[in-house]
Amino acid sequence: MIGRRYLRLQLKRIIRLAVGIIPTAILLFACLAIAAVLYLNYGPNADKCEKIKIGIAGDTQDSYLGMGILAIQSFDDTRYLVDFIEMDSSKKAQEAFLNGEIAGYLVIPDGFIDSVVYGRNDEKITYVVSKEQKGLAGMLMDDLSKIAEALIICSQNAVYGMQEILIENGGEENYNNYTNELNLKLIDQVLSRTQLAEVKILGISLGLGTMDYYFVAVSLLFCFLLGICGAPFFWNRRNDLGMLLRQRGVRSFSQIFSEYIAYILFLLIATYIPIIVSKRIFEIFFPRVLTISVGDLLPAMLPVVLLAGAFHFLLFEIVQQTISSILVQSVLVTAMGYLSGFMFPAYFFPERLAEIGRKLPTGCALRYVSDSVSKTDRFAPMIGMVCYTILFLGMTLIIRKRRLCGDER
Amino acid sequence: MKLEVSRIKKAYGKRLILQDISFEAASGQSVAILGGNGSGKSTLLSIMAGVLRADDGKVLVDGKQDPAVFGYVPQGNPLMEELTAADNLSLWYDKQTLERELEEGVLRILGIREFLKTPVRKLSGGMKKRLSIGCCVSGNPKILLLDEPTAALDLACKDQIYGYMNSFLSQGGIVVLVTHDIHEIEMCDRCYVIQNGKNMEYQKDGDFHKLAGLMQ
Repeated sequence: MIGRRYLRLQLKRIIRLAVGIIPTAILLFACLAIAAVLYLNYGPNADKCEKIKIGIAGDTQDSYLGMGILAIQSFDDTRYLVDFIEMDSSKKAQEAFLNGEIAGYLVIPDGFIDSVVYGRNDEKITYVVSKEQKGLAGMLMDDLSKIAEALIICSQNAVYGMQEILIENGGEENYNNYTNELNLKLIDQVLSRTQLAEVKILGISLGLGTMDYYFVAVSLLFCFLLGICGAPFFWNRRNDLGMLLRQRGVRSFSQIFSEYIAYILFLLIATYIPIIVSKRIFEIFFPRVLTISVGDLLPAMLPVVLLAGAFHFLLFEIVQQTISSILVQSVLVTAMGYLSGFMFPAYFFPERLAEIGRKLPTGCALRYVSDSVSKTDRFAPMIGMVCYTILFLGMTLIIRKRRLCGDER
Repeated sequence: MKLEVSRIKKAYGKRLILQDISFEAASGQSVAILGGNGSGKSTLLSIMAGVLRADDGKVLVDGKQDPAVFGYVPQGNPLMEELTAADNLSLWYDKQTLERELEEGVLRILGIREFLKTPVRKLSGGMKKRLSIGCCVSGNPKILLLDEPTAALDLACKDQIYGYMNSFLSQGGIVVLVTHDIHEIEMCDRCYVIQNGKNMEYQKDGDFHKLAGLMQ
């Protein structure tokens, strides 16, 4: 009986607190949304800064090599991401690289063309990136350098091969026409790929478009950070009340259950309202930017809310001091969110870090919501989230029991 | 009614807090428990209330173990600050009982009606303590366990709490009181000092220097 009344009073508490908490939550979401918009418009991913500069040094004077580079710069999908800059020498390229003017550079060795023409393949294009550059730019550099190398070699092989055949078979009068025609075909067929750049670079985002991805990421970050706004719910909990409840037969499990139910109610309202409102605002000011629907996103957020609630419970159970609990939560959620790809897609992190990020609660949540919204298989992240939720609540129960039963005065 | 506390033992990890606590009390009697900070007074009360489990020993009421007969008032206030006094009381009392107690029972003696609709966070320390006692003594306990109930309260508030204690004792209840207050020690029928995990009865002779020496 007392247990049921305790649940009713916890619900009453959260409703009273919500009057003060919800505006704080909306303010927090607004801050995150503004930060995200600023980041997307003016950050390193913004259009004007988006292109990565890659230097090309060495034997670039050859007409067909030059044509290959020009083709990549003009026609390949990578032109939206990369500026290839011709450098006078590998030394100049190195200087530019060390000065941070370019993200990396390709070195085309002398005799490379001859090597290709005569099929020796003993000269290799090398590309240079720094060891430290294992983040976004490094990953792109690796891929793009390989693209450039492959395309240039393919186009050269084709053009020189055709020219050899024409010379050997007496077709010199059509030499220029055929060469031009082949170049156009190369541009049309070899370079008109879309798959590579879309999947690996623009499709950063677990099957979502960039804006959709960041909308989901900001929503998740917000949900996990909501513990800061919900702190008043935890501050006024007293050991004495817990002990008295225990004395009257309301065990720690029932206490936590009642508090958790009430807190989840708050978390649902505080998460859903800003998501619905901000989605609507986005649609008004940036039509057709977001493709995900609220109808898909909100159900997908429900398990995340349960997980985030359990996470907050554990943190506030471990750290009882007000300021410390908020600080710990902010730092922890930001760090976990960063590793899981809330700020940069985790794909661009070194594999080991990305793996850790994927296995964190935030990583499971991101994968689950992304998979749910893009309607792909979400079983594995769901299992991860359920395990984390049970683990957090179980640990909360153990700590609460220790606190109430081992409360030494 | 007879309260028997026999050979209570409790340790936190390797630290032995209580090693042999025994005393008795009968209906209408009050017992003061004294001791220095960290001596285990509150632990003893928690064990008696059934919140903590003793490593050894027994707490018997009329020869039976029955935690339900204890009304336990912990040292702090077991209240929800955002809610009103009435809300807090509604956790422990059903509607009819609450009305009755406010009219003619313990809640009237404690003077709770005057701040019934006020949120707890706006109450004074004395009001909170009276409300806490009101919450803790729901269910008509036969034995009251009070952990420093009047610490830092003004005289008027103390007087109301003493009034309730006397009323409780006159109805045949037993009061076990953890206190540092000389006046409360004087009020109690018997007084025990916990020292090094054991209790000894202190014969009240007005020599409080001697008593203070025992607690060091």
